[in-house]
Amino acid sequence: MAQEASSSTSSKTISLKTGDGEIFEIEASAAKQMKTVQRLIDDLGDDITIPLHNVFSKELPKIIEYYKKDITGEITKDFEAEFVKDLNDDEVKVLFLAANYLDANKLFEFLSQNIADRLESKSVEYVRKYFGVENDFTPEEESKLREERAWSFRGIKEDE
Amino acid sequence: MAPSPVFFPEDLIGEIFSVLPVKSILRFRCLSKSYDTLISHPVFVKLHLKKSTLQNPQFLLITDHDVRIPGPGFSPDGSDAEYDRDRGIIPYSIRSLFENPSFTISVDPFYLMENKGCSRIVGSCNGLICLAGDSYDEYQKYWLRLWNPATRIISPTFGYFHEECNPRDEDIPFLFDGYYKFSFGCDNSTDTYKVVAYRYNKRQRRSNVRILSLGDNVWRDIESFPVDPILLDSPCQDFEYDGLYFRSTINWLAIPNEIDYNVYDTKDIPVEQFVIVSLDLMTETYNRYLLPRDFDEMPHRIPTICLLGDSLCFSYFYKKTDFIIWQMKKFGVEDSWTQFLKVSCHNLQIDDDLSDEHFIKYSLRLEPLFLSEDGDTLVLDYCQDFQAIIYNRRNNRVERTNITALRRINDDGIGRCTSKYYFESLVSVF
Repeated sequence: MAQEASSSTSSKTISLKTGDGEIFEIEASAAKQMKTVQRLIDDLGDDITIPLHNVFSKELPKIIEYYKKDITGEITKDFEAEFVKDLNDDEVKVLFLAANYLDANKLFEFLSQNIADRLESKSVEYVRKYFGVENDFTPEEESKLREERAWSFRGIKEDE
Repeated sequence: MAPSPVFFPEDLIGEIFSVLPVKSILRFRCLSKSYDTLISHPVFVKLHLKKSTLQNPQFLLITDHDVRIPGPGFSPDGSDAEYDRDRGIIPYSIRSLFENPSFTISVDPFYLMENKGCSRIVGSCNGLICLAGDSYDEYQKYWLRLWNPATRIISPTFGYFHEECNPRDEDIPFLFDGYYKFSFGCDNSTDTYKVVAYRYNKRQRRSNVRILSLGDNVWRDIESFPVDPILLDSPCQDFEYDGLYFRSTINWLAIPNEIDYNVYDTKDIPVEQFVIVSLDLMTETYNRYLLPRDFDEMPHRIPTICLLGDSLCFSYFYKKTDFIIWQMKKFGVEDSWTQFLKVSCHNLQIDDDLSDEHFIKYSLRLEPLFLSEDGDTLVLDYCQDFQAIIYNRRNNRVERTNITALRRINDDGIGRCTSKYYFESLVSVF
């Protein structure tokens, strides 16, 4: 995609290249919200295509969409609900890690809350799998812990 | 094709966990040993605490109610049943209150006082609730317990002390110096929770104040109040005039006790004598703060202080027609009192009640409880009922809650109620 040549900084766009080689445009003011991107711009200049090795073409457009709304001050509860509505738990997870890598604070906090909401009533087994956590308790230790906190195990959703 | 992450950093998981409700967090202690450690780590507890105030603010309905004890004959119509009084709490979320002000509550034995050997709820701070018990046989005894209802952990009793009541010698008149009341807070500079016990000592004709720090569990006597809190010498722990915890201080509305006053007949109380007495839990010394200068006319009911949106506030009825709330924008700075709200009783839809003099004297009570983050919605506790008034400042809309108590055959009758602001935490009771 050809980069827009612009004399005013407010409409300047930055080119971002994902880990799988695709290029996306983002406005400079939106790029500022992602501290990692801003640092790379400061180091490499804003005329170069900024390489983002750990973000891929599936996630970046979604992130750009979020920050496009952010710079116009249009992020509402309804927008955020709509934003995650069709994402499954794994897709949100990947987006969250990308937001972390990009140091995009607002999106990071929003997705933390969204993941927490999704995990709130899930079982221990589901959450282990979700985060890739290995269970290092012995069966006896685990059943003791479960017994002590039996009340916290009530009302859990069935794993899909 | 995006590779799936093989490693999810622990601190990121900590961030996600810090906005979960306590019940889920405690369940996830079973994930692995390192998560068990993470969740009980003071740094995580503090992070969760900070977020909890915004996450899911709640109210505790503090209720007095009758507990039905089936009679010896177990008659089917319960005609030989006896009743005992117990106190308890019923937590509910403010968010769900806004979504649906009409809901049902029921008494859960888990939240009752008697089975914990206590009789009153002193206060809550950082998700911990301080309970107190007392009894009298040879001595007037007091004790405390610290309870975290979210983690379901309660401490053993502590802070036990007793006072002599009975005369050792019949020639000496009956000795009983006065009932102690309690307040609970935290010295945030050292994360030390403290309990304050105070009373009016009839014999010494001054207040006795003592402080206990959790950890060393020793009562230390400190100076008397410079000005006595309202109703200091009343025998009950009166929620309206209890100490109010705020940022490492406990605050009371006070009036010099040389002034004879009657809470039910306020017309002769000199309004300029009111002051806020603030006990600094860090230094264990007092400060005094004047009330707003424009507060110059004594209302029919004694005003109250409360917390709203992270400021200390002062509220009262004005001429029976309006309700006014002042905010101390900068705590401790008397010049920073700002009138936050003046709303007519008509707009609050309580003006009908105010035509009844008896009601005004004995039942009327309006206590600001909570202000939404955007500053638009105010929740007010009204009278002794468990209904609250939800008032939207922006569009002047009023809604009354419609909380109904579930009554089953052997269930309790919920009586007098008050509401307190509360939020869950993982803070340890030890």
